[in-house]
Amino acid sequence: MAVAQPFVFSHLVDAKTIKEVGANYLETHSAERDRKTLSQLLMGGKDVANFKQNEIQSMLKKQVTADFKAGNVIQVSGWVMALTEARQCALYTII
Amino acid sequence: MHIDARNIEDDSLIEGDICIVGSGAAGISLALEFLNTPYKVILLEGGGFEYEKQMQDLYKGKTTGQRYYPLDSARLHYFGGTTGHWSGFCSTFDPIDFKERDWVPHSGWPITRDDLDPYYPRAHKNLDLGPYEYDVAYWQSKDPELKSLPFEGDAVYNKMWQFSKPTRFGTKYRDTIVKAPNIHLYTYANVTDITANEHATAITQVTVKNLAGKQHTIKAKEFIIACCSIQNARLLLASNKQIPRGLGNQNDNVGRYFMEHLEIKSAELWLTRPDVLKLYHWEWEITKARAELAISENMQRKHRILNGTASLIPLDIAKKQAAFIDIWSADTAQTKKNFAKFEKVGKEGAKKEGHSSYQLFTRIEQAPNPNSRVTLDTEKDALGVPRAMLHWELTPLEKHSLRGIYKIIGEQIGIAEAGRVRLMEYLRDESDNTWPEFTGGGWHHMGTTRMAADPKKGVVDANCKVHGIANLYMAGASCYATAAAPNPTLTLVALSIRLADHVKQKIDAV
Repeated sequence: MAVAQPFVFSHLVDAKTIKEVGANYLETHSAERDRKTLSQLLMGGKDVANFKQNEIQSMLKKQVTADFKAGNVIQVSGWVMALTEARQCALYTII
Repeated sequence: MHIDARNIEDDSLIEGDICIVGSGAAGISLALEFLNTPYKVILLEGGGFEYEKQMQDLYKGKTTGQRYYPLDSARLHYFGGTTGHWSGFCSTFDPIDFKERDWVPHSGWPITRDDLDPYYPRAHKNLDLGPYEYDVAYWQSKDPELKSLPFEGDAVYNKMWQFSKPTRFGTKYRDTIVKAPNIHLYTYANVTDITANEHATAITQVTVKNLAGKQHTIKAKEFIIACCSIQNARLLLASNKQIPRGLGNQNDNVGRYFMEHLEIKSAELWLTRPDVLKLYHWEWEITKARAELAISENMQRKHRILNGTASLIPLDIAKKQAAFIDIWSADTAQTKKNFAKFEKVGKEGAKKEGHSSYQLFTRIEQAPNPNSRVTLDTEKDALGVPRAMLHWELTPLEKHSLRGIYKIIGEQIGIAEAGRVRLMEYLRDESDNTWPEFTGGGWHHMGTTRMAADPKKGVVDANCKVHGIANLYMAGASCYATAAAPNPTLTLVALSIRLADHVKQKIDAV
């Protein structure tokens, strides 16, 4: 599921680390602790079903870079991450 | 001319125009500026030409506060001083380092970077450095393999370092100094007291002693103290027969604001593909120039952080290397073994194809802190001088700045899609201002006779002259008002050459 795969981050670390980061994110963002909420936040309200996997991947990859440029950056388990990819980790943890 | 002060008649009177106390990088650089001049220069060295345990013992002292290296091992007490074991790292201070910054208490020098610009190229020659070039493009034009990480904009930039051989001043300049007819080098001449006139407005003489039991008096028109930051402060504080607080200490600034560079493992850089990152690589006695990741002045202002840089070491190598604070011990032989192991791990771990993960190692200025200070102990050394005591104290600003630096680098690496940055455990909790056991300094002692236009805020003026004393100057990193990110030697040599020019102009005018 592309929406739950942080593109760059998943090239750097293993699935266990992604799950740990996701779990740590959810500890401080408990209101986002469900699949629907996270999907909506990541897709900006758009329906995942209307997009191909590669389109979602591309869109979220761009969103991650935009987050870094805009300063939407969060530190989770020490990682300096885009908010979008932290949410992707969180979604990966709960699906 | 060289005279062993143990071999001349006891209670000799030695007279000259200029008396320089200390023959390290600062003292020798000063003396070199007076070669072939009409002035008689008395250059005083406490030790001889070689390392001697009993001379190092004179530098022993207690430390409190932040864990620190044994004081007698951090500085060398013989001709050439601590250049006898320095690593040769050199870079220029940035313009922001001289400015008053409202988020850095006690920051601001009475001089600017422009004031030092003419002296850096001259200092380069003393230190056998390459061309006076600190623009990364220059070095990339010489070696196209020096590729930068793909940063956009200048929030993070490549600040260049150059590497001295490293020049051992004791070896390189011994003959020049000894053969100079107007430079009178006295070895085994430890200054134990500075005597001022009745109202302490000028220095009349200094007293030297040695372990052979001899004592001599040196009279000169100008006196320059260049013994390193801890000893400079110690000497002023111990010269307290006329002024109980010590010379130049009317405002209780002598010894205060001791600064080090925090040199500490801080974060990890994980790259999307392996890279040798040659631009950032350093190899002992091979690398001529390399870059460290630096933060722009604008970003320092925006995030209200201190100036610091990050160097990169392959992570699998760095994890096997001990922290500096654990390498340097009071036992010289053990220290050599520790360093040999440190270097061996580095050489054996390097991969030709490069590495995917690097440790980010910080060198950052310490905020000037009046409570970080050198004082006198009640215990005295073998020559009867009270030993120095060091209380090294950090503030929350250093830790805030470390976090800020890696947040900025992490953001910029993210924008570049080159990888991610991960802070080490001790930096993750923003409310935690404690320091881990492996926290260490760079053996850089600075700031104990700091420069300030206002006598209430510092010990020396913009010309390194002690406030209120007409003919007493301090030389070296003890004059630094702030520490900047680079290793101190290049700047302290530049500042010493500037001081020599000033003293020449002053005595020429008389």
